[in-house]
Amino acid sequence: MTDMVANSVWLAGLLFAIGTLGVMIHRHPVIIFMCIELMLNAANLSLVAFNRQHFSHAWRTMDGQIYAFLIIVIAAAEVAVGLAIIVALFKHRTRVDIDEINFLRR
Amino acid sequence: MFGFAWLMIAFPLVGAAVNGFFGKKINNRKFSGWFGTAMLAGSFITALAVFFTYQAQNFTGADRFQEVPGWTWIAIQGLSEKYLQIDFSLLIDPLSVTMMLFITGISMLIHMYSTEYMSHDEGLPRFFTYLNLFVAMMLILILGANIPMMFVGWEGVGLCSYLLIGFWYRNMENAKCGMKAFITNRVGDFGILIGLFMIFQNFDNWFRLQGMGDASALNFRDILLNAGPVLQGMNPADVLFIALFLFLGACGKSAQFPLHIWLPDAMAGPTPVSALIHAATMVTSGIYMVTRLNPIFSGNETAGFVVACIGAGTAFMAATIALTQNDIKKVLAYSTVSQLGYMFLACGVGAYWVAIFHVITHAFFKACLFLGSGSVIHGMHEEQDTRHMGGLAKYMPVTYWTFVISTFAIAGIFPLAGFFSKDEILWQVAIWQSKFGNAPAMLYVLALVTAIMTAFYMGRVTWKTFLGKPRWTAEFVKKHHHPHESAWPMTLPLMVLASMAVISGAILFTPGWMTGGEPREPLAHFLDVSAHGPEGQRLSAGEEHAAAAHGEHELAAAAHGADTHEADAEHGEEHSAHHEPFMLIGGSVTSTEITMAFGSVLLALVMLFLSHRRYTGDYDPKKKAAQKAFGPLYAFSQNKWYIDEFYNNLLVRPGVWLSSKAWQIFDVRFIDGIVNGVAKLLGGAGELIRPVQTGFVRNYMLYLLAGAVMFMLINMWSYLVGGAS
Repeated sequence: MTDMVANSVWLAGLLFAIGTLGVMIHRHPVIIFMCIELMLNAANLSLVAFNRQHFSHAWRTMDGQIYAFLIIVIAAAEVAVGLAIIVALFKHRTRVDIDEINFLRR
Repeated sequence: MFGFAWLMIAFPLVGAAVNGFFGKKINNRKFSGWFGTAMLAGSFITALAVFFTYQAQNFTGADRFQEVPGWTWIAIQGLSEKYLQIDFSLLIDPLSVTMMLFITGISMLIHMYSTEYMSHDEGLPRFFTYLNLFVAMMLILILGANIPMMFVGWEGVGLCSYLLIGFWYRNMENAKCGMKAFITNRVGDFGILIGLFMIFQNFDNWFRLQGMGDASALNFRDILLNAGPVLQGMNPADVLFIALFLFLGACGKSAQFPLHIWLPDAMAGPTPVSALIHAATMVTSGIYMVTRLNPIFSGNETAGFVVACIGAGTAFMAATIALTQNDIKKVLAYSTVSQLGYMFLACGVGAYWVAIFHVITHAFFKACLFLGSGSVIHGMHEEQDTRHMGGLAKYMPVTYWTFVISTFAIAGIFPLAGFFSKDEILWQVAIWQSKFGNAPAMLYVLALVTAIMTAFYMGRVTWKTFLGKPRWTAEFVKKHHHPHESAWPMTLPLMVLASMAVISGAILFTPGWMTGGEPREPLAHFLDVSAHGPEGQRLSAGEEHAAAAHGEHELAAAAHGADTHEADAEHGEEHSAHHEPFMLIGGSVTSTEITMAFGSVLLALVMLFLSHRRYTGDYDPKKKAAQKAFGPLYAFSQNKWYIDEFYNNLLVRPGVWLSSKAWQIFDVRFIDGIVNGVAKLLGGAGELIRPVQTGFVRNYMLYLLAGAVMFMLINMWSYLVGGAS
């Protein structure tokens, strides 16, 4: 049982690191998005895992799992908005390179 | 009973609101003007209704002060048990009824006149907004039941005056004239505020001591009904101070020396404004205030003496200035200052009802003169200089005849209105019982000389404008050929006002020598209580008898204890039984009165005749005959006694110098330093942090990560440290 939780947390940490690294090294927004999804899922995984660990007779709540659902919904909404932005950008400048999109800086 | 009196104020307020908020949207000049006029007509009808209701009730004693309850305006829980409550309510008493009748009536006429006079002006809705607002404020001033309400009206009319003087604000000169009026009035307002505070303090003290919890020291009714004992208990110096401070306020509003300088400059406003605000109504509010609080002025002889001297002095000074002015409106402005001086002279000698009498007659003939001058200016296409007029009588007959009638009225020619009011003032001065020795005789002579000069300068301006050879500028002749008579909305008010200038004097007062016995004094009877001094000393003796006979004397007697006039009332066959004039001509009081009256009429006629000789025929201003004949005297008068220059050098220049220094040192270095310093600090800080924003998403991600890691480390610090130890 504890082993399973520990393994899950390790997995979550790994996924999160991969996601972070992906966001930092990739230049295409869609891939960056996928990496962000990976990070969110890592967070979900750890939430669920910890919920499972703390679930007992004294403390019978499902908060962690509920939060995981919340995050899934938010991620879906975020993707909807983000993809729309990416499509709009694509219409605007054909090549979508994250490093070239810095016009808010000016 | 008088609840509907509120309508009188509501009508012009509605007019101001409609024209002010929707005038531009409606965008119909005819509507704006006539709507404003109609509102004033409603106001006038209400005033008439109030007057007749009041008359029908035959109030006596304290009932003559009828309060119309409104709502609680200010309520303050005092430190002790007493609760200061100020109501927004109206006081209907003879004085306010008298004032409101002629104010609403003349306002209506002048609104009507303005519909035509301002018809070509772009800002017509704005004009009627201000004009309606002015009337509402003026009515609050005279109808207010307590001191704060009067003060609201006092400031309100000042504001409207400022707005209307600078009505054509695109011209910097006009805006400056407005500022001058406003700032000069501030000096006066300082005085009136101090005076009003002192009244409150003293009366409030007395009411507390007497345990009169219901009486309010701000309420005119309570002040007037209790003035006698309160003033007797006060330190005479305090009474004098109150009176002088109040009079300073009156000087500001009513343009008396040394605060008269704003009124001639106020002529920068449109002419109907000059007629309504700066001749007929607003400038008389100083006289209203003095009359309203007359027990205080009668309560100290020195105060009365100062008021009379300032009044007579201002009348004289303004008349000498008016002799040489060339601008038609400037002459009338100085004439107004001079006539206001007469009114204060009457107040000073205690003849308050005569002052109000002159306020009314003056309102008629001076409004008529100003509107006549407006008609001339309109007909001459904005020409104001009488040197470029002449020979207008042929082209503007209505304007000419009404102007002449009003000129004769102001000159005091029998039997026009000015004769009755002005000669009653002179007579009241003559019979004034002063502790200051020869003061009545000297003031009388001063006032008489002023009357003579009045006849001359009014004759001068009239004949110069309407008779003689046309001296129109070549430019004017080329453009317009000849002046034109104004349309009926302008001439009708002129005719109404001129006829009032003929009859109003004889209606309101007929002296004893004309009726062959008791004088006929409806106005004095009507005003009796509200214009009553604590000693009952304001009146001529005949008036006193009448008051006693009407039973109205009870109030004065009850308030002041038994007084000596009761005894006088019994042997009252001769007019002025206990006031002998300073000199007797022909052995009796009556013959003296007749001689004085007709002497001044004769002198006025001579002056009108002389001015006619001088300014018609081959008169030519280019010869500068008068300048050459009188030299420095002429220059002294033309330059208005150099009072403006005096103020400029003594007050304005040092003020400007001081404020420019203050601006350079305090504003530029200190205040701007703080503001700019803060801005620079923030700007520098921003510059410092700016490079962080690279625009690369990966950079931001790195910061995010670094932040997260740092956060984690901080959170885990105790574990890490704990693990080490």
